Amino acid sequence: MKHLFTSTGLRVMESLTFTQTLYAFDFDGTLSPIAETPDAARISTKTNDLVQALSAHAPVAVVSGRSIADLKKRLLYSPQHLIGNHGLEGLSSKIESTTQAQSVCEAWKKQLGKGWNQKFDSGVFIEDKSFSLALHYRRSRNKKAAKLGLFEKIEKLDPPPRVILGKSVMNLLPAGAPHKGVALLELMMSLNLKCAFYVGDDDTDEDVFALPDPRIITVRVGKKKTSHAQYFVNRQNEVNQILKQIVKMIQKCQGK
Amino acid sequence: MSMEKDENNFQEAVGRLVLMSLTIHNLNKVAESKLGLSLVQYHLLRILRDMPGSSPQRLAFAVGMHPSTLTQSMKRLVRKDLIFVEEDPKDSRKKILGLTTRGSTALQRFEGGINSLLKQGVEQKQILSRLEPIWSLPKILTEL
Repeated sequence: MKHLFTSTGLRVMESLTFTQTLYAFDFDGTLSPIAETPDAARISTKTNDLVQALSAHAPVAVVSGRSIADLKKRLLYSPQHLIGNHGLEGLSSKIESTTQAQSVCEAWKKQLGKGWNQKFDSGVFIEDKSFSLALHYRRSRNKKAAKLGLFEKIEKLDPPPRVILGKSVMNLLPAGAPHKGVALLELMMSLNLKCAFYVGDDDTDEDVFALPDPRIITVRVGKKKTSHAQYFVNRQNEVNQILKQIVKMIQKCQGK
Repeated sequence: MSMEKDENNFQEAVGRLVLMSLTIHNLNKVAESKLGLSLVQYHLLRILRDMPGSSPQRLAFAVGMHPSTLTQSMKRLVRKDLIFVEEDPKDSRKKILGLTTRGSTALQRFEGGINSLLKQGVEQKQILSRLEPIWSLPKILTEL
């Protein structure tokens, strides 16, 4: 894993501007700083303007665990491609699976609700994203106990979910549901693009980072030894620098 | 009689191959001097444009070349600053390749001018075939 702003990273970034590349970004922790509650997450005006500037030159996508409706509320400017619920929303081929996912999530919500208040404090809550659930425990008074308690609850769910661990959150997806990696590949194919550049920060983004496809250049916000990403930046506020750099490189390539 | 016919066909085929090889060789030389890239170099750069950050092995597979043959071509392209070779971010023992700005410009220049060169090449080939019948080439070769 190398820092993106080294000679290697910059040269690879530049070489992406010579071909048809999809620029994709996670939302929480990437385009927006991590917030105390999911509802408090917002994109800054500066990041928003840079995303908009990039969209004027190249296809841009936001790939998130949030629902598309939720993403639209949070993005001041909505890029051409929004993928929600870890790939369940936003791709034409997933319409059928969303109906199934919705009924599965409703059943899970009912099962999880039983004895919830007795088991957890008010800092642990369920976020219903229609086609997936997110169990948050960031604001719990005892995060460790909350995490264990949530695992106990998840273990009993029927049908068993696919669990993706995030930063103080557990994402529950119906088994067989796509993940961000599949969604990104499908979007690339549908747009007939040669390469992709993906920036993410979370364990859910590892599904993209771990893709055995050299056409996808990956960047993690925050260095992590076990990550499969090729490059990293140290902090979320460096994402603006990435966006600025890409726009500059594309403009140079187009001779503007 | 049949053996003689087979031999004539073989000689004619070899003659055609030689002529084709000469035409390509000539076209390569003209392309390199006028457009800055040989046909092989163009092919490599074009493939690499859509595979930024790929390994030399993967590029060799994509262009249908043996990796050792590719190494020499790569060295020439690095010397011309048309491509870069860097350490693989995931494994420092491995290398990755990509196009430089110069490489991208060279590709565009080549793509803009190759059509007229190819046309000239075809005309040249037609003239050649009129002047010197194909069958005479194998004869010359056997005499050599």
